[in-house]
Amino acid sequence: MTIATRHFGAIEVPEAHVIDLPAGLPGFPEVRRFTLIERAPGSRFRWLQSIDKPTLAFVVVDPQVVRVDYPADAARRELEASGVGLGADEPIVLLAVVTVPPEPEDPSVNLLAPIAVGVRSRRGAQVILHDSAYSTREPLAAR
Amino acid sequence: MLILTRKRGERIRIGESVEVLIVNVCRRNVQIGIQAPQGVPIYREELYRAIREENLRAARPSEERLRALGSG
Repeated sequence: MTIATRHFGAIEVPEAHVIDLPAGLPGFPEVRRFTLIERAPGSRFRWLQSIDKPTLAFVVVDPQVVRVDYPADAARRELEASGVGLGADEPIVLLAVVTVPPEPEDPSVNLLAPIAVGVRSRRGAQVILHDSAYSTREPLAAR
Repeated sequence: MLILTRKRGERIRIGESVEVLIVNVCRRNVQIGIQAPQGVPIYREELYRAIREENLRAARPSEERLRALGSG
């Protein structure tokens, strides 16, 4: 399918690259389908581009790149509990949402509620790491 | 808002598939059990609001700052 995006013009999204978040995201409950777009070669940031609302795209980053000790297992357990139907041995991808506010505020990353997606099913959810000390606004560590 | 009075161990049912149990009442805390279909997200309200607010902020990235982030 072809979607007219805000940041990238018209792009072609193969069905196999569609990510489904059945519950939507808090604040965007009606937006379910997304696709990942590489931002620039070598960049740790990617775009999570909405298909249902082409003007909507989030900057995302792998939280394990930002914090090496990030509790990926806890995110996996939350994704299993969310009922999206994760296979027992199915790998997951974690996408932490990055906020890029205007000056003078600093960019931050939401490490409390990462988006977790099953690699095979491409279904996921924004999960909450209830037992972590992370907040929705953690500083982006220097590279 | 509907307000109901319940004792410990009593339940409230919302529609066909959501059940709320008053597990314990202790001083200023109420312990609540919730049974809901898989796929119905349940949040502490303040957490839901924090995540919602951050998603809304993140949905409007500053173009200027984005360029400054470069390929980092």
